[in-house]
Amino acid sequence: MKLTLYVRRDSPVHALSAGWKLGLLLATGLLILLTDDIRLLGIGFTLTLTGFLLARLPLANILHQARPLLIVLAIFFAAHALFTTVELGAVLTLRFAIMIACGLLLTLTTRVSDLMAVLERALQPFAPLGLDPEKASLVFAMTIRFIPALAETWETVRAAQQARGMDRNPLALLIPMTVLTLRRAEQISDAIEARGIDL
Amino acid sequence: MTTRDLVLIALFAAITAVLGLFPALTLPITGVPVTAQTLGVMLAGSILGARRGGLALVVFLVLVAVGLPLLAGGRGGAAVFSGVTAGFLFSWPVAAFVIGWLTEKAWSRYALLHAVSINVFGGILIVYAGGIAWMVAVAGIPLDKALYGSLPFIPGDALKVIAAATAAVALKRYQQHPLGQSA
Repeated sequence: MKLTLYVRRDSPVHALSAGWKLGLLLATGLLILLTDDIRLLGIGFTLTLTGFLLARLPLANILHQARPLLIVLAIFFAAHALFTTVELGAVLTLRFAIMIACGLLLTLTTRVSDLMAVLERALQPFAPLGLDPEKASLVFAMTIRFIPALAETWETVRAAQQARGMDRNPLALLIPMTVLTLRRAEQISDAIEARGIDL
Repeated sequence: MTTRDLVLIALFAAITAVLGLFPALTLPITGVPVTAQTLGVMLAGSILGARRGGLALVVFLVLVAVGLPLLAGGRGGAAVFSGVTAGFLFSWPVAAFVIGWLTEKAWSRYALLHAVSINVFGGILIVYAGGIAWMVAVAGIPLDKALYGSLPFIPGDALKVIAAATAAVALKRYQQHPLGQSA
């Protein structure tokens, strides 16, 4: 199981810091709302595609992520062409396409750990409000660690119920799965506290 | 928040991610593909309660946003939050919070009927209200078209409601439900 979408390349887009890329993404989101001019939006979309060329990403990775979003966008454009006007459909579709492309470019060219670091820094100002950035990043790290562990538990439960001929019953999988997960929560929090980590 | 609360939040965020690993199951009668992930929303709310349940889904969405491919079909990244259907995603933490809040309110008499109605309200009504409002307001799709487009997914969601409700009530009966433990 591959838990990242990042594709390693030696490119100027990859070299740009995660904070800058995130800032540019937010700025793009605001900028494209300021114009209804289809030519300006077209230029914006072309610029975004240039980013993909600069990043030299494999087409297969781009398509795997973009395909479902492109299908929805195509239906969306067709619905507008049928029920409102082609112009409005084109403007709205281009706006979505720019945002989707920028988001995809960020995701494919930036390490998860770099974005998490930006996130932790962005959470610092909220510390006085009771949001502990350290606790938050611990929860994120634990979640990433738990995903393969729970996938394994699920497989164990499924094999056990298959031996009983019950693996076709979703409840025979779900109930043991939740009970095991809750029990595991006890064990893990006991283990954290036993090591004297004060949360 | 105790250590146990943080661990539970992480575990249920992870459960939602694991539910996305299953190939979309195709319903025998309608043939509409259904993903299991909103089951994670219902379970988080019904089992963890409002605060922890809502936060579990916030954690899940943040991890998707920073680029983990945790949505069904291995999708993720900032792009999925700007699509036509992004409203459904944004509604997940709200839905988990509301399900959890209602579950806490109904706790002393919580049984299958309560569990099912709470999950229909939070896991279906709120999720579709968020998803459809986004389609109408942000994507400019006419309301009736957005409604018809969402209808085929209702049978699958009904099955998930029954699964989540049964699991939550079973946990209460076996005294394994976190809301029934005083800690």
